[in-house]
Amino acid sequence: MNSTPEPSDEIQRAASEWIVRLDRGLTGTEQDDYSQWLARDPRHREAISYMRWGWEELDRLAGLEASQLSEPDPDLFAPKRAGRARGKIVWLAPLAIALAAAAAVAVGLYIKHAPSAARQSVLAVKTAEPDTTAYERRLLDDGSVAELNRGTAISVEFTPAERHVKLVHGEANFTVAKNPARPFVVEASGVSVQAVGTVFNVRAENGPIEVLVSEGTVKVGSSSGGTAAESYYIKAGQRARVSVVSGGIHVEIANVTPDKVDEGLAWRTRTLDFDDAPLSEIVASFNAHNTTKLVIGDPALKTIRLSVTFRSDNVEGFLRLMDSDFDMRAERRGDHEIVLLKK
Amino acid sequence: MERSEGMTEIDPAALPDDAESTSENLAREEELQALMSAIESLPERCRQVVTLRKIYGLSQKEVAAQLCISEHTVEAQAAIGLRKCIDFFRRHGYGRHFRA
Repeated sequence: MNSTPEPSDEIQRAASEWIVRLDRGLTGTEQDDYSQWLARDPRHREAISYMRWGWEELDRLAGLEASQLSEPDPDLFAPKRAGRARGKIVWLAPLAIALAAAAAVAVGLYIKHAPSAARQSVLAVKTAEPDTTAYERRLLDDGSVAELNRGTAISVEFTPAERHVKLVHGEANFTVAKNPARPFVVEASGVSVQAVGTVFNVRAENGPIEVLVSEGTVKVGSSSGGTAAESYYIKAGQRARVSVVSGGIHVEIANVTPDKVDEGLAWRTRTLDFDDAPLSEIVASFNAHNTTKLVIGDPALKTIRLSVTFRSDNVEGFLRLMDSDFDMRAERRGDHEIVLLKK
Repeated sequence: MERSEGMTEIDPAALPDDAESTSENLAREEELQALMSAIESLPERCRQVVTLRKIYGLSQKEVAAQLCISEHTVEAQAAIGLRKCIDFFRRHGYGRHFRA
């Protein structure tokens, strides 16, 4: 027997407070406190799971009637509110949600998912035809649009309850038709990212997946987790680094400046924008996007600084720019390597 | 509800027919009604905070600004509101079985 069992009321209270804090985003210290609190008693995780369910359940009312009012009305559900017949709202509810779905509010969801180092060798064999799939725009059944970069594989598993997309590998941009009643979930590298009316960016290089939220909230969790699996809410202006660890996920949340958010979302348009950046940095960014790799052949070039903007997939354009404006020449070496040299 | 691993793209023609969706709609209406009743049952400040946070999707900061209260109060009231809603769900048999 434990010496002093914590009263269940106390657990419920703490769990409700954690859910609300998780929703707004935890500070670093809170992140630690939360992990410790969860580990202290199995009932804590259970309480979190129940509270989270309740908190999310309330999201089903999201958007209800809101579109019909210009200003958010805190007293929408005031019990004795004159002039609002309750029966009326019952009938409005499904309609409001249906309208929200039909309006297909553009929600951008950007995912970049490179296979982890461990899996890379296997996948490299399977995706040995680098340029076979060009950029593709695919209309999904719910009205959402998936834009796939070359070589990207997704599998779409839509059920009446959930829109589930698995990013097998590659890089995709989703414009999600808003429908709070039918969540849109993207799974990548064992991490699930759920959009409910949000704009966010997910990137998976080697190491942790990076989630950057520019509008609203996303929910991040382990995609293999059961009902009790912990998940985290990432809010607008926050960046989370998510990695899968034994028994769940590890999440680090940081606040980012609007500039950083924009920078992160520049990926979405696949435009790379550099202001007075060293060529080595530009080349690294470029290489992260392409199967054709650039190599700086002359050490003297590494430190020169450039201000350039170009589409990440426009290899030829970039080389022309280097040639015409920056006194460099390009030398092809094999099928997928280009060496930059001084003229 | 478990998501089947083998599930693939759904043919729109294979989706539930009108009769089924109508009964689904009715069940959903009841659920939404229960959720609204839960919010209605909250004390005033709590109810306002929960309404702005959940129905309108305002952030804590935005709610604080609209209601002229501190963010700390918004957070505290939201947690109280959540607990009270959960209690309401328990008392009225609104359970997790409703949804996946």
